[in-house]
Amino acid sequence: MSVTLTVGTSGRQYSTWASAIALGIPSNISSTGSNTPYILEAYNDSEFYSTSGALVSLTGITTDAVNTITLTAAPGQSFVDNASAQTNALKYNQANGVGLRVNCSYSSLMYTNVPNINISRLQLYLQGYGGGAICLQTDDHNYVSQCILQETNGNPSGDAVYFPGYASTIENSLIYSGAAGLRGITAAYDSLEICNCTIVAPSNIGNTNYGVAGLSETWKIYNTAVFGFGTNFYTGSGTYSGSNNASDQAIGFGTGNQPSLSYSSQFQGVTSSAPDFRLKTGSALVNAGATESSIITSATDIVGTSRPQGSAWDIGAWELKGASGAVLSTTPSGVANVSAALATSIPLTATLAAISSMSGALTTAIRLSVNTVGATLCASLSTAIQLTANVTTSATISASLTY
Amino acid sequence: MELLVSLINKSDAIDDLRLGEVITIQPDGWNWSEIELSHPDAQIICAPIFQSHAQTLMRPHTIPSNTVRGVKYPRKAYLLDLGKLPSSELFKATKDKLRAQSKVMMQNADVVQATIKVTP
Repeated sequence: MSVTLTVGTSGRQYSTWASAIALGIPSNISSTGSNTPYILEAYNDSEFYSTSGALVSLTGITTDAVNTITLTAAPGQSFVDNASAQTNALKYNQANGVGLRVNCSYSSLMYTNVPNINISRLQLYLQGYGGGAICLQTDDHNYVSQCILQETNGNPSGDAVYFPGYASTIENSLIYSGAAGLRGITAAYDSLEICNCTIVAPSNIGNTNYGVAGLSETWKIYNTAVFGFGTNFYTGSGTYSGSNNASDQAIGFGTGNQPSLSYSSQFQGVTSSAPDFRLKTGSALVNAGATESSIITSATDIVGTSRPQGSAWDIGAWELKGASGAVLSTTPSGVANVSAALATSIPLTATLAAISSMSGALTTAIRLSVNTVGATLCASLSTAIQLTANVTTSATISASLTY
Repeated sequence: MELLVSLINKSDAIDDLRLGEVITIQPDGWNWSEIELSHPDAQIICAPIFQSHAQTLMRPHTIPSNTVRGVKYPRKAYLLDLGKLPSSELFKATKDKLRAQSKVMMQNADVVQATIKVTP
């Protein structure tokens, strides 16, 4: 049976991550039973914030494959669960869910040297300055999923995320390296797996480092987008394998890749002043990924959208909804006289949204008629119709709109 | 500021929680939980320490990116020598009994003079 500890500043068991770890988790959870994982569930009562040092240091605890430690947000408390998750900008924003932020020189934010740690559904943001500072550093068999990991630390040549251990995995996460010399992910040992991550540096900071840096051994990288770094997708002496990755640079390994893409054409916002790493409609990353089940435990994206939404998985952490068909939005409420032509378009919208792939031609005629409306009312009437079509070589979509 | 301080060596592991280690530092008036206010293995010190000293007390013994795989390090570079603090009898673990005072007030100088560098 698992043990859940609640963390937050409004009537929870512990008000800080550090006290929950120090006072709530035994030094050897392997000895507490055959299967007693510890789960630290955070509540978004306020931002977890420090100006004096790391917020999470997990050291000196003995775990094993079944007696693990999970650091996560409580149900309903993560940016993943936010009611506006589909429209929120994909970046660190504690208003959207549990957020941990450190603004301190020469300090990391979350550090573990304990194996078998799961980190999920959290936002981490490291500010400040200093060599060696890392937003997240993990150990062997650590598993990171559905996280936003952001660092703007002015570290001359540091890493936003550092995996010095064996057999760790990161999936469906955004890694944001917001300083000129900051690498995205660095790993020092064997068997790091990266799947459906978005690893970016803002386009306006002139990052001259690498999105992925492997110091040795083997990497598997699938469905991952690396943009905004100066020289290449990756560097290092490791052995890289994988497929269906995308970048504004050359990639140099694997199959099914999308190299040398326009950065700004893929994401909603790519500058440090307005970052938003949700995919754009029409992005080359849409439907360009491969189905992956050996690394990822569930076919969902960073906010829980099921994959695929179109004919194939999207590359990166974000799965674009409705990208494979036409999405038609109308707002008939409050309109006094709606003709039959508009009324019939509403079930048509539902039908189109349900289509996941389509090989034939589709022709849609939409007619909006407003009858018996006086001049004054016409002046204040607002009608919005949005028609979005992602046209591929195997499908054509045409529409006519009549007022 | 308010400092949550460990009253125990949690285990023999060199990188586990140590006696006198500052677990966390929070602003004055922090909304500590009931567990934190009464736990027998920790004590809260309220003292007007400077931000720079707070960073000293929270500094890791070794910057994480400089660690060597397989080698364990002490968690912190500095500890508090609890025997040098005023009312040192309040800084003894109470072995499963709730502690006598939820918070102990002291001066900046008390904390500074009790701060010692860790030698692994």
